[in-house]
Amino acid sequence: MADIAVQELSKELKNAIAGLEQNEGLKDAGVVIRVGDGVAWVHGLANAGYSEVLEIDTSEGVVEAFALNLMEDEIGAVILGNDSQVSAGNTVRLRGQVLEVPVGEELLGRVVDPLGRPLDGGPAIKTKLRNPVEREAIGVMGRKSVHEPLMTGIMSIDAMFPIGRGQRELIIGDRQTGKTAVAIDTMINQARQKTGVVNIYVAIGQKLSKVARLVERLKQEGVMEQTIVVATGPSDPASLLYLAPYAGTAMGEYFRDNKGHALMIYDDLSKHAVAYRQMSLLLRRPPGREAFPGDVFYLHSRLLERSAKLSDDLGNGSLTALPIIETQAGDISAYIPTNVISITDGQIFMETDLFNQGIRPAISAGLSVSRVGGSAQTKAVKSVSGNLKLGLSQFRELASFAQFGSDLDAETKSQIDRGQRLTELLKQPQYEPAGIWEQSASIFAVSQGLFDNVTVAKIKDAQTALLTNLWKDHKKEMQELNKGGEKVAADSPSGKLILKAGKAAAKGFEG
Amino acid sequence: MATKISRRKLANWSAKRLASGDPAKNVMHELGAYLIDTRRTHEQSLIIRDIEIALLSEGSVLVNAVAARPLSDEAKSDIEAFVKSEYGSNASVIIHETIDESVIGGVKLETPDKQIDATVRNKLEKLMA
Repeated sequence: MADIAVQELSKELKNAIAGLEQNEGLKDAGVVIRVGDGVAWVHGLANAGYSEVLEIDTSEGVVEAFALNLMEDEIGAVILGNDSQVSAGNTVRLRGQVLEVPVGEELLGRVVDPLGRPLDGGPAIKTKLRNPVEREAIGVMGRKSVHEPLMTGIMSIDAMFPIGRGQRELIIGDRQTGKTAVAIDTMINQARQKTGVVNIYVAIGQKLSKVARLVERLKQEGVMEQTIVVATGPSDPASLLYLAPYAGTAMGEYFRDNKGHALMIYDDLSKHAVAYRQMSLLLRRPPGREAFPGDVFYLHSRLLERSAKLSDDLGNGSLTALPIIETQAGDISAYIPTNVISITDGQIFMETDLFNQGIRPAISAGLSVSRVGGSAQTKAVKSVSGNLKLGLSQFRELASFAQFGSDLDAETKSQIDRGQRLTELLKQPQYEPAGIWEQSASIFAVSQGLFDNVTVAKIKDAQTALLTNLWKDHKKEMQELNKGGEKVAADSPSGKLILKAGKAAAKGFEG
Repeated sequence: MATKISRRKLANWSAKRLASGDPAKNVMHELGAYLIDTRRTHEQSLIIRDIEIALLSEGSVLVNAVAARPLSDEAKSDIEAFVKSEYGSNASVIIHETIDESVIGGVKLETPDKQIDATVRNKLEKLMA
């Protein structure tokens, strides 16, 4: 027994040595001239390409870096590991390839860093494929217009600002306004509705405790099996924070290019821009507005342009992006927010005031918009949400007048009453995304005036009663409605059912 | 104000002078005077490296061979042939030998812009990694 083991070991060792014996030939080499703050300046390596990987030989092993500043006399390279291991005089070799990350289905359910190394304590990730972190976006002919819905499960978004597969919809707002919650609910909804959309959550400089809580929650909800989490913490070097969204996108593109659908969540791009600013300033690039470098627009535009709906020829896959931007005191006219607003196909604006009033999700009806999602909205939701956005915006404007308590005419009063009920209806607890039938039935009931006599405080109870009755008595019809292909109107079969059930449900809560 | 001349330009100028047969002492004297005048003496080691790189395009390859024991004539001619196969058969190869027992065995070749590490120490380190 022992003999066999020894023989096997000896064979393994011989193979290992034979592998190492292979002559790799002369490799381009240079030398570190100075190092600090995560940046190494390298002499030599005249053949280095932009974003090419460098290997720095240190006394504690090889440290990777990538070349970002290619100048006449030296190269500025950003170190991907611990810069304290690197010292002046270390030899630097060119690897001859740009940065790559593992991609494939093997990554599903895993938490990885931007280089694809596991962070969840699980086994090493072995994928068949590796793709470059930076790739050019698909061209015009490879694309198709956005037409399939990507349901978030959040009523106010799906009804007023629908998102389609392949769309880039920005989630923007101050701190603590529920931006991440919207993104998480969207991820959960993909699992609940069995849409087959793969979620890729990219945490950029997020507290690792927050990421751990998120992963735990996703496991509880059974979403983790179709999710990849790319995590970077505040203590990671800026180079990793910079790479995280590109690495996550490379992982998402695998699904997009293989006839699948993926949803990217970049949480958040403000921190990404700050990390890039840090790197750029250390690389001595000239600062511009708010000290960001001149190419900070390109930083985000080239990232978000990779999200696309592919043409039939390329397999019909899609990559949807929900970038998140944190504003300071609601200022959406700052540099990075305006940049990303102009790049994306719309934005969901979260308001602190609404959040504090208990209107959650705190989505501003006036400032939010979806530029391409309309054509991707399901027929069912579209048929009930026609005037919702306008009505809600007008209500919020009127409501501020109503505060003065002056006499209001009947029409204004009814508009305010309806608005209050709609606002109440659109409140939705976290982790409870709604299906298409739940959304259509609820909105239809309120817009048809079924709940006009229900007190505002009891709207949610009436909604629950309506949905419970509908599911109990007409499960089959509701399942059909959930497919989204059927319009809901007063004379449609499903509309009639909702009207009947709605009247019955409202009776118990009138007051 | 005079613009700063890049190291690469200085190196190319020096390499051309050296290749055209100017005595090294004269070229280095002029270069040293320029560096003192422009307060760039701290760049001297980098400029020497740049001159070595610039000399490559003039057909001279300076090779530093690191080995545990002195190289035999046969090994030296093998190294010369290998370097010529990489840099062209017309290259004039100048081998500088460095003895370093810590490499244990094999040889590490360092040219101005490339290197190959075929030492036993490197192989052991790769096995350990």
